[in-house]
Amino acid sequence: MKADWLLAVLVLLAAATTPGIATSNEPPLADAGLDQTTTRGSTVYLDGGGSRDPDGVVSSYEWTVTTPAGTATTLDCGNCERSQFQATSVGTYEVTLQVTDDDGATATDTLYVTVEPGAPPDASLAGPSRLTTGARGEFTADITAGAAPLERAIWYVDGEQRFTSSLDDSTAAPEHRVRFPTTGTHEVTVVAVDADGQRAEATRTVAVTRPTTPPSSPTGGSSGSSAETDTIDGPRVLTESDDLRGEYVLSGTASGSWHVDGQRVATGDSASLAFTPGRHGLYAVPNGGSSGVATFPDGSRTVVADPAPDVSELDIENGSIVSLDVQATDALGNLESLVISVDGQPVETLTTGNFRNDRTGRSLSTVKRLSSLDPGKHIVTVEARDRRGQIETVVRTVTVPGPPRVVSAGFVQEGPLDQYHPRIHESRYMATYRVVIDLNGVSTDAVKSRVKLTYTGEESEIRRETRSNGDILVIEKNAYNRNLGEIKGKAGIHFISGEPILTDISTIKVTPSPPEIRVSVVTPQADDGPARPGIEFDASNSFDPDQTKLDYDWYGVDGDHTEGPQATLDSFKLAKLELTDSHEQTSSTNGLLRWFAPDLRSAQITNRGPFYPNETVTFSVRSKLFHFSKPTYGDSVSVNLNVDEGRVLRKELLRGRSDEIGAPDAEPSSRQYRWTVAVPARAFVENDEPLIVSSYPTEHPTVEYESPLPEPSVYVLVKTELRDVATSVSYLVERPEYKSRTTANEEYRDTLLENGYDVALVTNSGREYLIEERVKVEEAEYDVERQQFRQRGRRSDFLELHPDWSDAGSRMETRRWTTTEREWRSSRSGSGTFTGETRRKLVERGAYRTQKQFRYEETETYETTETYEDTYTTTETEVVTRERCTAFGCVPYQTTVTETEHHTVTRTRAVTRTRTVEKTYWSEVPRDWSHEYTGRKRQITLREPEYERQYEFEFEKRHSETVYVYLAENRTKVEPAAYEWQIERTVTRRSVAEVEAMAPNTRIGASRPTKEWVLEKQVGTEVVTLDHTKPEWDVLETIGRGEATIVEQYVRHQGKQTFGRHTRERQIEVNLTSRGFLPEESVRNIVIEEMKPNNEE
Amino acid sequence: MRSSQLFTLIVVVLLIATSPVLVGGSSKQSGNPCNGAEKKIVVDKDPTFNSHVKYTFQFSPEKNQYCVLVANKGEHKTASAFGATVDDRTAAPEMPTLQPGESKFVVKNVTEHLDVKRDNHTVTLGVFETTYVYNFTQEMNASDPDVPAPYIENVEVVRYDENSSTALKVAVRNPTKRGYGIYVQAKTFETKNVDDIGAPQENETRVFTLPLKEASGDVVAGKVRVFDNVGEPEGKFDQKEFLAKPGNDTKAWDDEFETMPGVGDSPDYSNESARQYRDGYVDDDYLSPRNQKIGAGLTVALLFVGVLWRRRRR
Repeated sequence: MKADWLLAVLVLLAAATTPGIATSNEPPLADAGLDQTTTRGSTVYLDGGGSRDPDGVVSSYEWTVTTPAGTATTLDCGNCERSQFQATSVGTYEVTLQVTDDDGATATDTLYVTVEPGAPPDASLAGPSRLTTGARGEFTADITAGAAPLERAIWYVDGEQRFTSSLDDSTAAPEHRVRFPTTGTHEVTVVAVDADGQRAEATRTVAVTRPTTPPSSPTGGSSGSSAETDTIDGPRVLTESDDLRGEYVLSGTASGSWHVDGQRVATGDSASLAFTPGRHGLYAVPNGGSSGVATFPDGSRTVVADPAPDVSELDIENGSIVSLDVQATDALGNLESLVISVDGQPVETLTTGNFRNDRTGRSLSTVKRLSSLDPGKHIVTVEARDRRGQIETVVRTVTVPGPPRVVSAGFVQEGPLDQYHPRIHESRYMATYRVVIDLNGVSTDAVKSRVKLTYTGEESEIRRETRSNGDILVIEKNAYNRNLGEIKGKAGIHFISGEPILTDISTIKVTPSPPEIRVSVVTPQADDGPARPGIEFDASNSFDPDQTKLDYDWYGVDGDHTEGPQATLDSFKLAKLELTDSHEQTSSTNGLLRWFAPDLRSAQITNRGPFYPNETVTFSVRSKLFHFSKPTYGDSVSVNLNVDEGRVLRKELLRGRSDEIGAPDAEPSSRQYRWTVAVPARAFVENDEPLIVSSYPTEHPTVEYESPLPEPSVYVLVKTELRDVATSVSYLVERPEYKSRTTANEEYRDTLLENGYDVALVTNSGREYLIEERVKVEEAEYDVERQQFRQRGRRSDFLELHPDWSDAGSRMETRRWTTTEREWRSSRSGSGTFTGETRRKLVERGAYRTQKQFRYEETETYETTETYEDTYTTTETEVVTRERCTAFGCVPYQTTVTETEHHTVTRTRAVTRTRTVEKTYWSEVPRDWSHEYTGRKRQITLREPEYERQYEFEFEKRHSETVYVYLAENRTKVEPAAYEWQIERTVTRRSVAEVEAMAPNTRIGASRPTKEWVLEKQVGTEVVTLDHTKPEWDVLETIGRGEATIVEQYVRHQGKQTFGRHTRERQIEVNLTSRGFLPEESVRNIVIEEMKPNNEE
Repeated sequence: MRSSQLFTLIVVVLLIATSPVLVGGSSKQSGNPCNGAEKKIVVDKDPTFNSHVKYTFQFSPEKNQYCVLVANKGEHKTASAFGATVDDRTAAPEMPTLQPGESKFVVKNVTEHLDVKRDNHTVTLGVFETTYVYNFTQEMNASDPDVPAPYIENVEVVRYDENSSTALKVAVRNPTKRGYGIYVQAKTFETKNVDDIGAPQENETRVFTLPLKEASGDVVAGKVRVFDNVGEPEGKFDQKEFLAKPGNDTKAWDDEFETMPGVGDSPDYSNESARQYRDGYVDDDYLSPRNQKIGAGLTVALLFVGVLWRRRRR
């Protein structure tokens, strides 16, 4: 026996310590799992974890899935232990798993997945339940797809296929219109077929009657529903007033589930259901025995939720012409009309069915212009009505401005005016008729105006101008008269379409005007010799604006008075010129010197040329010498240039003798002016006309003495070229400012996403390796036979006799049992049952004590009273007056009486006495040993005994007892332990993973790419200048910059002669700043264009 | 003088009576004084303003009248306007306001607008740039009292005792519808031609004051005349002679305007009767042309009687 044991131990040791036995490789066992059945659209889960290798481990898995059509489908992980795929087709999928063990041996296993069609489609049919023969009924199916997409709807009328419509969505509402030629009960059926060929059918029964037959009662009549069928009681049409909500009751059955459009929405015997606008299928599935569904009594399932129409858009543009942009919509599509009223009067009515409008009844819209509303407030009412009579009304108040009011009208000038003459200023002859209109809120476009003027001259166009922020409109028209007389004016103001406002006629006189004096110098006083011939003037340029002939009268001239246009001044007289026209209007002038201006000499160029066009040529312009009779005579002379660019830099008056003009100490007898005049050189090239400088009397600029400016030598640009062009474009942008976070941690990423970050970029940051650990997931299974012993020794004995049994330890066993007990309780409560017995129970005994009586004597002082007799004597003396009567009468006399009395009185009095008394007391011991026991005893009760009423209860009492049980077992292994590779952690470095995998029961499970997220969150905006922009940025400025070299080729001109070429190079820089965004190409083009010489300033 | 004034008054009254501005509906055309004259039509249509006015112009040179029918063919009340010029002067333009469908007939005599210095006259009628010009010839004597032209309304010799001087105040009335530029010239025995100029406008009386060389206590007799211009024979408007005794009103009477100043006219005043009166021989009542003739006759007769009487004494 002992030898057997020893052999067994040796065998076990050998098996445990021998690392391997050189045998041939065994192939792995592939286990793809059991066959599966699922529905279309479901996910099929695959698990190859049951595969194993008897002499190693399974190193790889490879799944292959073949669809019912024979094609391969993809799995989410084809070489994983576990995988999954979508069953998108009905039929049988063949799933093959090939496993490879660590020795490279393979094995396959195949499972079959049977995919059945999923939920069928759901169909309901709505339509009329009654029709007349020939009338067209419109039936609308409400079809909802099940698991497969819808394919078609087939319509049957009385069992005969009529029409097939294709469906291509998850829900559909095909319509079919049917006319029934015969009376009777007809059936319209729609069959919805999905891609899997699953069908749903809905039938509508229609009672067809003759047209003249009055309609039957809605509740009466025969219907397709059978008496046994449960029905729904409730409204079939819900309107806005119902808030599209209805109360439905299931009749005949206590309860059921309620379905709207195929979706269960409520349970119970009734339901309060809210519907969205439209047609819905409603049925109930009763609980219990009823096989069908509950519909409305006529078999219909249709509930129409018809909201009121909506005036979805009402834009009113206030103004003289009120513009209304109105749109009404109806969610159900039964919109009937849209009426626009102003102050209660309809101005526009639209109805559906009109070719111009939406004939579906879903919307009506119009744009209406109301141009004839009177100024003031008006009520605009827009009313949309559906075919059920539901009305939506929107009321707005519009204010039409106006009417405009003419504030003033008439001629601006007070008059009288002169008649037209080209040589006088137009302010003298031009009449302006002005109308000032208070627009009163009216736009200027709404006010038309016309100004009528009587005239015989020219008339301008009407000018219109608004003032005071558009509140005032000013209308003006100019006219003048070529004749004497008058101009009359009147205006008409039109507002919208009413009668025009006509202003009163205004008149302005056109009267004769006096002659206009023009005096020029014929010969200046050339010297101051003795003869001193005066200046000779010519007034022949004078004219009469009335175009009559002039008479010239010179006074104080040489010869005193002369007539005619010319006269020579007398050096010593004050001269006067008087002109008279044919209207006997006169003009005169005394200050003839104010008409004086000297003629000019030839001008001289003072700076050297040649000149570039942008340079300035300066000239010295001298007048001819002139004299005045007296040195105190003054003049006022100016010069003028016939080019706008020219200007006078300096003016000097030179005095001296004729030959010493300008000499500092010369005698100031002769005078001469010298002006320095500057003219841009380009003016000589650009002006075809010769440039002229002219002198004129400052007060009379119409009299001029001209002198041409000499032509300088000027370079004329003939060719330019831009070289070395460099441009740049930048943008001043306000762009969002982001805070950025980068993480590879999904949890942190999600936290950032919750905090307002958005993923801006996802990148592959590397790979991560899954370190898997082989974990025992299921212990080995043994068949265990056990024996238990109460004593340890007995087990030892047993084990000795049965060596294949082993000590299985001990366990503590607790024995539990229950007894029925009775107990008395002081209250009738608690667990258990009252047996009905009661008792009176002493619950506390009484307390008693025995006392003895002791006696003793004691002298005591006491207060008492005693009685005694008191004896005393009293004496009373009384004088008594009495009458003594005699025959003669009574005589009064007095006597004295003395009375003595003896008295004895008993009285009491308090006295203090002493006596000896015997006292007794009760005590357990004498208070003093001298006290004597009297021999009497007594018992006193310290506490009375307590009793209570008790009730007997019967109850169950649980008992337990703990004992040790000693076990022996005999184990037979029937199933080895199960292990599983579980992901322990992930590492991102291959080398780390390989080191980790060197640990026992550890391997690299798989590797997969890791992601890194860049998340951004906008924290504000920033203004920066960049060389690029993005559409979402706000471009504040576009900044363009350009640099280039301009190569200019000039030809030198002087007068009409041309000389050789000349080249000049210069640098140019252009900076362009434009608000907002400009495309880069445009900016570069603009910059280059700006750098071109023609665009230089 | 008085008869001529009376005649002028009658003429004026007749003119006023016969040339009113006829205003009325289109039916009044039956009395069109311009009947027979060519019609010129202008249509003024303004679609922006929705106005439509039709003008029909006629001018009758025989009657010196123009006739304009203005008709509102549009749908709104509208203001019409047409212009007229007579001898280069604007002549009372009209702006009738017309209701829709209404028309007005305007007739105007242009005589008072004519330039009396001219014989060839021009009348222009029109709307905007569309004008019609009518030229006609009508010789007019500016001195003729029947022809409306400036005339001397009053003459008064003013005496200034403080400096012993005198002046002549001449009130010139322009009764026409156009302004005239005029010379007022006077001469007396002591004063050679003295003149002033002015331009009395339509219906205006303007007073000219001409200084005289007579002393304040002198009898002042002379001639005053109003004309257009020196040397223009067409412009002889009016001439009067006057005489004023100290303490009495100035007496004046018409005189025939024969010689135009500047055309061989003497600056001296010569009138023998006036001289005799001034010298104290005759009363001024006899200085008028008729009385002068009677006075001359009486003087001759007196002289004749005196000669006979002296011969008898011899």
